[in-house]
Amino acid sequence: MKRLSISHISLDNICFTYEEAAPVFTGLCHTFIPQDVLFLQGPRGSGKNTLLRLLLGLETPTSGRYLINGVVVNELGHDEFASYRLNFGYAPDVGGLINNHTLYENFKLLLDYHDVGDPKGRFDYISSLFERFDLGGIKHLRPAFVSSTARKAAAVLRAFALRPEVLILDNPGQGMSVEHIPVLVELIHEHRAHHGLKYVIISSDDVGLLGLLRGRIARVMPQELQMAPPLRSTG
Amino acid sequence: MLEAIDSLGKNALDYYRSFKDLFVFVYLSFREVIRRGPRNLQPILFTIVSQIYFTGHQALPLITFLALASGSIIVLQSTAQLSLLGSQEMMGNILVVTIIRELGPLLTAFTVIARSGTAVSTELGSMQVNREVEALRTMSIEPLGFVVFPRIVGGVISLVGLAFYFNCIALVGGFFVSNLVSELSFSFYIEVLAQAITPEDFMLNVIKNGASGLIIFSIATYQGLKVKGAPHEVPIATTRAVVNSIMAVVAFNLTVSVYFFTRGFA
Repeated sequence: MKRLSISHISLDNICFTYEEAAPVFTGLCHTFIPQDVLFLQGPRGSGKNTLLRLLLGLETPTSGRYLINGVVVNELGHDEFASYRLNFGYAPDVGGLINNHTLYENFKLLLDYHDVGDPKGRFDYISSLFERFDLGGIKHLRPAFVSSTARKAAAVLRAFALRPEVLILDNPGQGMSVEHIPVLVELIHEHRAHHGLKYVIISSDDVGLLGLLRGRIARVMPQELQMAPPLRSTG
Repeated sequence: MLEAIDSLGKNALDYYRSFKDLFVFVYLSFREVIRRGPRNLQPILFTIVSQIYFTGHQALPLITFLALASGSIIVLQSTAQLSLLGSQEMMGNILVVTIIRELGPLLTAFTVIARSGTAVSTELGSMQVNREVEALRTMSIEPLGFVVFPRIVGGVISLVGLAFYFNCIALVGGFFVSNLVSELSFSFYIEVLAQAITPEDFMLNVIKNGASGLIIFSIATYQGLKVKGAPHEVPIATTRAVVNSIMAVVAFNLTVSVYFFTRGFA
């Protein structure tokens, strides 16, 4: 499948309502700025998770337009949207690993299915990723047999496997080992500098992570993302 | 009275909608794999082989036991009854009709529903709860092609293979077990059996088992993926998968048998 580069993401008058529930978005408009590290914040039920799911194409807006490179992607079929989605890396807040596959196979499946690199290259690449979080020793175990922090680390790490242009992390600090946080920050910086990562969108209230990534807070409102000024480097 | 008719109509419409949804679900799963073409089929083939291992290979001990037991009973009873009538040469026909055409497909299908239909439906329901299906979507791996298709294909292959194995064990093993209590010559037994079996019997057997496999695994995967996200939905989906599978398999087998019977294939 052909992977399409992403240079522009915007939401135009997005409305979204879950079945038999109050509307979450009532005309949300926002243009995501490349190179921003966006921290979505807001009270419970404000729509942080829904917004991430809309961006990933897991939910379809009730009305409005979700545009990537000017194309209305919420009107595309699965196959057409998949070309863009291959440039998204995503880690959910909980779960997300395939339980009947080992940690290594979880990564291998992704690379095999999309035919990324040669088999030997895939092995080396996956191993190098695991070493970043010091998971090399347990990579051949299934998720049920490793600690919850290792599962979380593997799920977050998998978001980087295809070297995405858009990284979406749902509460990455929650359940992650304290030692893994600086490694995650380093990985994000490295991918932004060398591997074409353009958009980083994180749903998190973690002040430490926000500071380390010098992120920008966006309060999720029904009609807009209320932007706070960027944090200054304390350098 | 009118309420009863309304209720009947509503149920009929519900069944029609479910059947249509199921048909589209299966069609889309096959379409997804055909659309992808032959490239990178390894993950899908791996799942097909795993499904054959779990559904086919691991069910062999249970199928062996069932085939031996039912084969022995049928051989024993038909020998006893036919010898009273002095028409033991009819035994071949009775065995072919009861084991190959009717009992084999049904017993094998029930075994597969009990062992694998429940397992598949529970597995997929749990995958929904653990957000594994959602994770596949975010990785641009379409679950219909990666999760549903290989389970249906693996299930169909397993069921056809298991039914063939059931027939062999029931016919041959049944003779040896029943021979412990009755006197029947093996050469006579093989001769009447060879005279009775026709290529149409094999065709009917493959049609019934192939379709039963398709029905069982389509329903199991469909019900499993219908789980929205709450753990309590998983057993409900599994129960629904079992009940619907049994009803659909019995109805299909009955329809095929009646159809062939009315076409003079008695």
